[in-house]
Amino acid sequence: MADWAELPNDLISHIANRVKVIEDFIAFRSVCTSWRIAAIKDDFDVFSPQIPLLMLGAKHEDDFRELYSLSKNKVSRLFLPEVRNAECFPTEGWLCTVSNTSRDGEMNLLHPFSRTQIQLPSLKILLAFHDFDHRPTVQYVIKAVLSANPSITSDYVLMLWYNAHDGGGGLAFWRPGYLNWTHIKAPRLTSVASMIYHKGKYYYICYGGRFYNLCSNFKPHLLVTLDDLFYQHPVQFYLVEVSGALLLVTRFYNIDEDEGSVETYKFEVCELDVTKGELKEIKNLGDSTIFVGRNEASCIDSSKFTGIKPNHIYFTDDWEGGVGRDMGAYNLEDGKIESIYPELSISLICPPTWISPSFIM
Amino acid sequence: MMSLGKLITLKTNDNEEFKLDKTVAVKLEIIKNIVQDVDCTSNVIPLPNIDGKTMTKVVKYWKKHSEEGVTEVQLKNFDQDFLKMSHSELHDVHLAAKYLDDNQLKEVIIQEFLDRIKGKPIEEIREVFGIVNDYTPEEEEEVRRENAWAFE
Repeated sequence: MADWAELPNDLISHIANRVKVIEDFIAFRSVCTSWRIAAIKDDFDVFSPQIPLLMLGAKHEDDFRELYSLSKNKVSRLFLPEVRNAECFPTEGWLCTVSNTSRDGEMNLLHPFSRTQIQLPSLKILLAFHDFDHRPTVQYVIKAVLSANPSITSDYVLMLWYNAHDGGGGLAFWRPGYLNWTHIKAPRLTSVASMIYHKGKYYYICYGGRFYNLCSNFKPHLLVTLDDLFYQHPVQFYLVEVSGALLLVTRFYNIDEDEGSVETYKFEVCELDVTKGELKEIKNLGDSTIFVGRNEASCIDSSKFTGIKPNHIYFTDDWEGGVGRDMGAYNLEDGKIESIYPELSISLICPPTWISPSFIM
Repeated sequence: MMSLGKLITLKTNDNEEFKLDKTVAVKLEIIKNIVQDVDCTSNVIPLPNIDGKTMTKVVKYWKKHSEEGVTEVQLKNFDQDFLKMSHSELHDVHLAAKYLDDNQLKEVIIQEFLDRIKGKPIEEIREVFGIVNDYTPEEEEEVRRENAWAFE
């Protein structure tokens, strides 16, 4: 029998090049030194979408966060003191963090798997534009969406939707190297329900049904008003890219008045025709699986992974004030909801949310 | 350059001969190239890097994949069966495919290797491939620390 540690390097790197699941790539690199040398990180296809990990609810005064792998049904612990006492917005495999305790409302981009941080201008700087001083413990930032993964490129934008005061809010963005947030002159909006960077542009949808994009100079442009859908409630909306198309996912809740809690009972998926401003309902996602939760929605091709059900929508609790109870996988075929995590993960600080594993280059 | 006769003979390094029908051979870009490269008057092409056992497999693969009217499903089933071999046999076929510049076969083999490690823990990959862990405990600790979330 051949000595397999001595497999020719080119065969090993050929195999490594085709590994699409990040956990497999890490395992591959860890087998022995010669495999590690052959499978260099640069060879990993960083654009290949990964199954998001379920970052379980934050525990009180804990410097660790737990990650649940849907494919392995296993929990691992991640040392992440940076997110203690901070609001977290998952975007592109990073977390936009807003400190609840620092005086100026310190903000960072944090790569949770390497703990690399990129400092952002503070919340104080953001709100100074409105002659408004921030108070800790008030949530100002509502959405924080990256245009690209900072691990891959330095040419990216972080777009914020935030609440200033008196119910007013605004859009502001930051680019690497900027010392300040750049505010965008936008029509007074009802709150932004979902925002996405899709094919070179930011798109966002407001609760009133107005659907905008930002042109190259970041000027908001009203594409269409989707009235009908938005008269139903209570609902939540998510924009997500599936096979290059822009989809609008609508999540329907039942409200328990006594408990003050919500429970998801249905999802609907529509394709948004950006040019015509039309919605077309989609009954079947094929092999695609959508993940929705706080701040972002993502999609993977389930046939490339094990343990992920096709044509399902995996959801976490992102209802305002939700603590993590409303979580599961919705089957678009028969409307049934299954559990995705065997225990209950409840947190008043930060309920469970999705985070996509990635390397830092 | 020799002309393609009715039959082409491939001769391995252990002197096994494989006669390929012209109709099979002309569909194989690889054979055509070898034929053009080899300056010989006979129809025998020597394959100094491949043994008979391996070439038997390669030829079996070629014949099936150039069969008249073969369906996708039949090919899929054939491939599945074909790939039921040991790692070292697989490796030999890969080397042969590489020498013969058969990208399709190369791809199939690499995919099979990949399928054999997919979703497996490190210890199992080592066991399956008979690899001895050559990390020092310090190095291994380093590797683990780097990707702690993926290991536990």
